[in-house]
Amino acid sequence: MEPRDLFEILMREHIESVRAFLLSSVRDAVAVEDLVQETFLTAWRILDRYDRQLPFGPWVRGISAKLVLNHRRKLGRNRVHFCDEELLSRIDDGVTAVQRLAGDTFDEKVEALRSCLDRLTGPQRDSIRLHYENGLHCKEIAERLGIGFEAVKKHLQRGRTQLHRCLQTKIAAVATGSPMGEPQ
Amino acid sequence: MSSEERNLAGDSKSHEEWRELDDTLADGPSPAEVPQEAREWLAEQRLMHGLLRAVHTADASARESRVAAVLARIESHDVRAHRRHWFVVAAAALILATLGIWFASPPSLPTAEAAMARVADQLALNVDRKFHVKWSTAGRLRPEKVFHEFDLTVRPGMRFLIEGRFAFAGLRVGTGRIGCDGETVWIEPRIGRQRSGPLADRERLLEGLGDILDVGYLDLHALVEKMPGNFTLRVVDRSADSQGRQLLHIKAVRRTLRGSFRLRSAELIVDELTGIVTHLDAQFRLPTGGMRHVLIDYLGQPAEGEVDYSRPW
Repeated sequence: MEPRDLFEILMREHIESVRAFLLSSVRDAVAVEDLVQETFLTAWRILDRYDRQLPFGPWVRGISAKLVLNHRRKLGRNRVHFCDEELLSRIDDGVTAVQRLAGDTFDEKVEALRSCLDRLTGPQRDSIRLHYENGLHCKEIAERLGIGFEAVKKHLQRGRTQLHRCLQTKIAAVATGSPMGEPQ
Repeated sequence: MSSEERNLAGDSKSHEEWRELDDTLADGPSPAEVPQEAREWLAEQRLMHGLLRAVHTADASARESRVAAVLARIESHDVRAHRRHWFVVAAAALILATLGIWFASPPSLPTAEAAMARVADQLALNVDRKFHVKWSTAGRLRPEKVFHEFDLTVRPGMRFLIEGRFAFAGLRVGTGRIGCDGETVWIEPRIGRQRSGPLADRERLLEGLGDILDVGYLDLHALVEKMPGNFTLRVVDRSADSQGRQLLHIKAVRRTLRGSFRLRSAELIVDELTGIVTHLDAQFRLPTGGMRHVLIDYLGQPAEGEVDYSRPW
């Protein structure tokens, strides 16, 4: 197989996880798309440095991490969320864990998140949906739900914590071979 | 309330003080620093933030566009790199003539670039090559003055042996030998003190020998890295030598005169069958501003083991 064909397969397999990784740190969605491209272009340029004995995902996201740090240095703290190597490494560990979920593609793997979302209730669920699905800002959500701005932030953060636990349970279930992979 | 909800409530209480560290929910600058104890929580928040954004913007056609865009950029990068590669190779060929990293080639050389491709293919050939080298003034507006004239035997790995006549500091002419076994550079003038030292000290050791080694091309990697790669290559003629070998005449002209790159232009004669550059006529600009005319003729490949690059004393 030609290196380019192999690279295309690897890219198709990992492009969404790279994108999710970048979306965790870069505010601007357009900048994320640019960084996705830059990540894979860089990976292609230095493909000879990739050790094929190691998984491709962490390697390519390592390139993304360096680009994010450069991006933050260039554009400042308004455009890129707080990050340093350690935090990005923790986030990458999370993305790697998600890859253990059932499914052939990243999209299929994160389907688990959708089922976790369905388990959320009350204002947490509403806040998460309004923020991520409808793209509303916290202030708009506060108006829509008739609650305070800080309360919306709390609901969003608690909702994310709930979702993280739900996802962790599913990942652990996959690791232990539980047939349902459902949280108890 | 389930145990998980109770735990969550408790955790959330302890997370209250970290809330402001989560900059995903507000505009404005992100925190400059995050305490160690908050990092796990923040990483979880950010991971979920990224996954939620990804899940809610997942789209098969968008993914295909993304992949296509990357592939297009790779294609474009490869084409540009391919072009750069030819320029680098062309310039490398000129200079490597002096290093003797020389090249065999497949049977046909339809273009200058193709000829140089074969040069690249043989770049790492680990054999000795011998050349005759003549350094002189450019000689266009004034009588040509020969500074150095010597035989140069080279092998990849910074091994070289120079024997001939040199102009010290551009004035005093002397004869002798200069060599390097890849680690130690040595100089053995016919009259005068022998010197040797590590390769890294070659400039100091060879002080006064001016531009023999001053063009900086003995380090192949450094050379390639520094190459601006902006030469135009053109086949200007084809001919046959007395033995009937088909020769390709290639002209390489630097596209821009900006920058400090020293090789300005060159003409090469390449044996079409073997790909060996048999003759090189090049113009170099010196750091001092003057020009040097360099003529190099390929003398052949010494027998294996015949050349000893090590310090003779």
